[in-house]
Formats: sequence, structure tokens, C-alpha cells
Amino acid sequence: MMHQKEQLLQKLKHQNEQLNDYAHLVSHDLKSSLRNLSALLAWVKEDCSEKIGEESVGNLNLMEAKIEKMDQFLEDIINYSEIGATGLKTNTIDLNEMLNKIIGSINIPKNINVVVKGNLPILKADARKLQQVFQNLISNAVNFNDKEKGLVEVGVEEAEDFYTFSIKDNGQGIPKEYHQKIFNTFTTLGYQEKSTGMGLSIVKRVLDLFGGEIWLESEVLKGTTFYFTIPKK
Amino acid sequence: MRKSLNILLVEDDMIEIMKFNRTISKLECPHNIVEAKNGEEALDILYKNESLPDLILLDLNMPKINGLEFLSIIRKNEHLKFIPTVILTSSNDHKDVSDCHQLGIAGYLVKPLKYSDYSESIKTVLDYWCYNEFVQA
Repeated sequence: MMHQKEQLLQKLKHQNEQLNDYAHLVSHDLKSSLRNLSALLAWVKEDCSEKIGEESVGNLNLMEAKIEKMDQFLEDIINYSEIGATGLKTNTIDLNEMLNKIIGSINIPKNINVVVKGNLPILKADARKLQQVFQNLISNAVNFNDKEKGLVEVGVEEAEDFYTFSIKDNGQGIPKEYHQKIFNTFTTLGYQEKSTGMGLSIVKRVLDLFGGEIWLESEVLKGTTFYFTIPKK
Repeated sequence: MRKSLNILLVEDDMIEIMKFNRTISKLECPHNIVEAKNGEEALDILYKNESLPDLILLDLNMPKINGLEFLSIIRKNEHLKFIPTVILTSSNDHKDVSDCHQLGIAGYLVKPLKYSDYSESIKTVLDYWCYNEFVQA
């Protein structure tokens, strides 16, 4: 009985690895092809804009936007499949520094303000993966914000065994019935043309690996706060 | 002094080669480009010719001898190990990046999606190497 369980576990592990490799490989190949398509499209636009007329140029622009979205999709799939594929590293992270870097790298519109409240801790975790968590949550809070003056606040509270981080926005809010569903892969609430529905599943998957939890409080039209915990171990 | 470069482009994808050539053709500086379709062909060219390229631009994902294999072969070769090699790939895979740096590279370029961005980064790389001194001529 024990032996069978062991075998089954081995088999599952193997299949999981294969699935990860497969997602990785396919995504990379497709990304290369997209680069080809994108270049050819740019040349047609460059060389024949006048000959083909406004409507066709408009269609080419739509194609370009679709290619961009598909590329983002593939990038997200690669990121998602990488989470499980590589083991967890332990880096010493100064979160103040990391947050500065992340906020600097996100395209933030002028009407939205991202602030870090108080001093963030220095902790030990996998830096690349923790960065994905903050990056996704903060860019969601920025991208989906519909207010004239948008505000995104990052905060932390310390308990004995873990930290609770919060990302609070004054955006459009998320109805209760979606609070679980949004963590599923490829689920979007359709607020934004560009979203792939992978961001929060990446976040959830990383936090599962870390042994942390994630939940949210939200009021429709007023805003959302995402909370997540990171154990100190 | 700015000079024109002898470049070995190792790339299997026809459209990628077209992208590169189109970018080069719009530059002021005339560079001399030799193309190889995979690592095997590239090694053939390096072994046969007396004069070596100033710079190798290397794709990673190729048939026969792939980019990483090619890189580890030339890094072990007394005659070839000095040639600066810049990786040109669509993969920003962490392991690829780290493997390449360990073997020794002169740059790692992830091909941007947009042709205009691609073109810009190729120009920047070549512009930099134009001003360099090389081991041999």
C-alpha cells in the first residue's frame, strides 16, 4: 500500500515536471514566431501604408495589438510554469529597496499615486518570486484604477511568526462573488483589454509555495485591499 | 576610432536574418556580415577561415549544435575563445542567462517584440563594439 502511494507520487511528480517543461518550450517557440510576425507586420506598415489605405492600416494596427496581447499571455504562462519548476532560493531582501525598484519599473499614469506606508522589513525569501507577488498586485491596483485621483498604498503589519502585507487601492472594487474566482488561471473581470488573467494566479501560486495566505476586502466602486502573509519561519 | 565590424551572425530563422539585415542596411557604418544557420555551420566557418570575426551574434535555440553548445566549444578553443559573443534570443529564461554568463559572453540581448525596438537595440550594441579594440584582425 505504502509502496503504491510512493510510486504514484513519483509518477505525478514526473508528469508535473513534464507539463512545466512543455508549457515552457511551447511558449518560447510561440514567442519566437510572434517576433517574426510582428516584424513582418511592421514592414508592411512601413512600406505600404499609402498604398493600402487607412482602413487596412487600422486592421494592421489591430493585428499588432493582438500580437502584443498574445506575447503577454505567453510571458505569463512562462512565469507561471517557472514558479513550480525551480526550487525556492533564500535571499536576504530589503523590501524598501525592492518596492522602490518595482514602483520605478511599473508604468504609472500621472493621476495615480503609489505610496509605501512606514518602513518595510528586511526578510529572507526567494527574491524573484516575492517580486512577482508585489509586482502583480501593485500593477493590478494601478492598471484597474478608475478614479480621477488614484491612490495605491502598500503597508505591513508584523506578528510573531509572520508579516501581513496590504496593497490598498481606491479603484473600482471587486464584487464578493468574484473574491475566490479571481485567483483561478485565465480569469479576468474584463475591466481591461490588456489583462491576461494570469497575474493573481501567479501571486497565489508563489504564496502557496511560501506557505503564506492571500485574501481581500473590497467595496464596489470604492476600492480593494489585498492582504497576504509571509511566514518568518 | 569608429570602425566597421566583421560580424558572424549565427541564426537559423530566415525572418530573424531578414530583420538583422534590414536593420544593418539602414546604418551609416557598413559592417561585413557572415551568416551561419546553426552552430555546426558557424564552427565550420571559424575553423576554415584564417581571419576571425570581431564579434559573434548568437541565437540560442537552433538545430544541430545549439547556441549554448557552440558557446562552450569556442570558449574551450585557444584560438577562438577571445571572440566577444553577444547572445540574441527570445528567451529570458533564468537558467539560460546564468549558463551563458558562466561560459563567458559579451552581452545577452532578449529580442523585443517590436521590430523598431529590436532595431534600436541592435544599433546600440553594434555602435558600442565599433569603438572597441580587438585581440586580432
